[in-house]
Amino acid sequence: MIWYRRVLAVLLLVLGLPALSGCWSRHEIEELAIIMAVALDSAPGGQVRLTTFIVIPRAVGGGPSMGGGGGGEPKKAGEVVSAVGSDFAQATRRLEGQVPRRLFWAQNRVIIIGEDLARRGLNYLDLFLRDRQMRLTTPILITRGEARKVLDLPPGIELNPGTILTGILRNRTTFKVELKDLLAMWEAPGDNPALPEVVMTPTPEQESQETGGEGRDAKGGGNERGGKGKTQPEAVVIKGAGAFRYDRLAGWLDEKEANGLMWLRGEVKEGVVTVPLPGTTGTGQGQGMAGGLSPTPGEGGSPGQGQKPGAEKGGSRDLPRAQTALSAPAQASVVFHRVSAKTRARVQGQQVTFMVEIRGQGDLIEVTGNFNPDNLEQLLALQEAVNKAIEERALLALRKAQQELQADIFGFGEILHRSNPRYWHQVQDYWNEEFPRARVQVQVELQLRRTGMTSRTPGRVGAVGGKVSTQGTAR
Amino acid sequence: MREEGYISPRQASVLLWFAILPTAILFLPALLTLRARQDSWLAVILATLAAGIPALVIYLLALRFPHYTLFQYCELILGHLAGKIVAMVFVLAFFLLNAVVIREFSEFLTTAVMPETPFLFFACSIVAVAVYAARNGLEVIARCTDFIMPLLVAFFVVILLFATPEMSLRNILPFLENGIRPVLGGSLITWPFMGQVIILATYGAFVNPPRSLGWSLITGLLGIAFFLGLVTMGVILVFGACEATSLTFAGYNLARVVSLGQFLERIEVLFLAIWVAGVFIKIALNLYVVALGLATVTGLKEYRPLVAPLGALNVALAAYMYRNISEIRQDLLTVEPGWTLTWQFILPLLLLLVAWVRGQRRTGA
Repeated sequence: MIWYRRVLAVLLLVLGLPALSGCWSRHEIEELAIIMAVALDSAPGGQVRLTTFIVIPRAVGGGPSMGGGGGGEPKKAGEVVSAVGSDFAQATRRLEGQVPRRLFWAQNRVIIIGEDLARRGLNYLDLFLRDRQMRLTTPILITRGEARKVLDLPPGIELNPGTILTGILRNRTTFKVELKDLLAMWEAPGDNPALPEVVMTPTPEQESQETGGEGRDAKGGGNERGGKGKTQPEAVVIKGAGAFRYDRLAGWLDEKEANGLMWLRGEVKEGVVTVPLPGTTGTGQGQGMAGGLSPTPGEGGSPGQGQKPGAEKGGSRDLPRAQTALSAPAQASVVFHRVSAKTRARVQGQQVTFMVEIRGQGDLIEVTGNFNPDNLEQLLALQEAVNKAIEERALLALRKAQQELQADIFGFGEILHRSNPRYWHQVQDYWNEEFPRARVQVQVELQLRRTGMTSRTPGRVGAVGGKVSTQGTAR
Repeated sequence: MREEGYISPRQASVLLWFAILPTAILFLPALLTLRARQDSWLAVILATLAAGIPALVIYLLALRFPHYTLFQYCELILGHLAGKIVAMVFVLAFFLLNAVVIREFSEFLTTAVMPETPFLFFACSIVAVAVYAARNGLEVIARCTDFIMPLLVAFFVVILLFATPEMSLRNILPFLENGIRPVLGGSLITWPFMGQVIILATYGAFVNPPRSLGWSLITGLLGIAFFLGLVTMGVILVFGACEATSLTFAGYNLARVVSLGQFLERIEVLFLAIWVAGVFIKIALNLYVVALGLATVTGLKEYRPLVAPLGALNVALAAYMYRNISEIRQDLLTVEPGWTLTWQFILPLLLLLVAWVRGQRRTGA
């Protein structure tokens, strides 16, 4: 009895031996081509083009020593490989025919969709949702023109475009859409997707011109490269958005509208609002309003800065006090945090009204005119101007979505769905047609709480022109 | 058919968790949201309440026939021939159930983790381990749960807690959008999982003291409802009802979206490890019950020789049961609710009725 059990046990062990030689589905890291970024484009003849950025392990491994030596140009950390196919599975297969290693997708940092493909529809994304290696947390971006050009982004602080783009997204200068968010926006009947847009800035000269001599280029990731004095052919900014109607790209939102979209969706968590300092000039609410708001301090090539009169650019910015007299409005910037947006839907007869309430707190971080915190009225006026500027943004985005795109990219339909399912059932099948008729009221109540480490604007009081200074000295 | 050794009421209730939860958390949320949308959590609660009825039946039967297994009192209640037939139905039902579990287990691993590995490899390896455990008896399986249960609970807590940044509360609204009917449909789909509470009628005979079986049933069911409800809720909150329906393994995806401060990411491997351990308990327990039942019906003194052949048959059945994953989903959505209602709900109820009418009890023994 005992001996035969022993024999059986040994036999079983021997039978198990083949399993030790290795397992199925085993891939050593040396055999993998690690994909860090993916660009999806359309190709002629109804085909699609898949472009991937594959890491060259040698280049990445050599990174630290290169930095230590302070050597020359950082080498390209990866290779951009591209293939065309009738769908992405086929393109992937063809890509495998060009790459000496096995494609490995699980480390993919970002997916970029090209404009043409986005116009053809989101259905092409299926591979990236269905394949087991893909992750639903991958951020997804859209770009005008061909997406594969973004992958040619030269290495900078980060070595590959995937990390560069996710790094920028992490700064929260714009909103971030992961695959799962896109899927949710796409599938919900009362919502339409909107994706943040990658903009290739053609030349660094142009960028530095846009930024002007305001001394803020030290903050943005994209600008720091320029600061080093290297002439990179291309840099990248994430701003604006591509708006979809159902699953097709319907139009583009510029930076201001994208910002308004973020406010209305409640995606804004932190950022900076820049407004003309109220009370300095009579034109404060007028022309200066157009580009008053930029999402963060580091936002380099914001075209909104173009609003400044050319005279100001010409003048020496080292002496702002002399220049700000009456021709250029003095500005104030407010950094805000703990922002929340609450939207309610109300149905009266056939009229749907959405009431968006944006609340939050802000701190004053920069004033280029005369500002006196002890003057409560001025503070409140500034607060009012900030709220106005945000409301303006939101209304810009709304106008675009309602009149031009005819697509509810704000998810208002879902809010209606949640609060009034009965009415929703009447309109859900043609919500995008119904949405332009909806009324939206935006109410911004951002409260200015603190004024930073200094109170009054430094400088000789009285040298600055305008009404405010007199008010300030009067105290 | 007497089993040496007893398990505590606590172990009995934890075993019940393992008999239901492992496959339920993986396959149920996606199917459930298909029917009940954002009210799926409510469907889980309703199904739990419904499972309270067979639980009560089991308890009453256990009071009438303490220390007798389901297979034994079938014969005591219905007589020799009819009793054996009904007991055999139960044996086959558990056998079939185990095959489904084995198939679900291997199907998931092949789809989501190792697509190149043959299905049979997963099925054979887990059944081999389960056979070993089942041959060692109920006490051993119960002690395994003592080790795995804290892991399972910790895993639930970790995943759900770390997924909270991704959740948005408004996803559960509107409440009862299309009335109660979809929710009822959802609980019908939940039933095949919840109804497995009937398994306590078999190993419940070895719970000491027998009266505490009621406590085991209640805590077992509450625990299952709690965890299953939380996972369902988590899936709805993170993905929303629309997206959840398109995810085949929604519970697994929940683990995949966890990302805490750029460093705690990709913890789905943890999910897999603990989940595989949970499925192991489930398969071992089912195998034990099937072998015990077959030994009882056929009048064998030992159930142990039956375990290995039954395991092998189970793998074969699992392999031939479905042709593809669509058939599995179809089965879980349309066939299983009716079939499980028959053998997990109506049959025990009939047993109790007959026992009550004929006034049978074996308390003196």
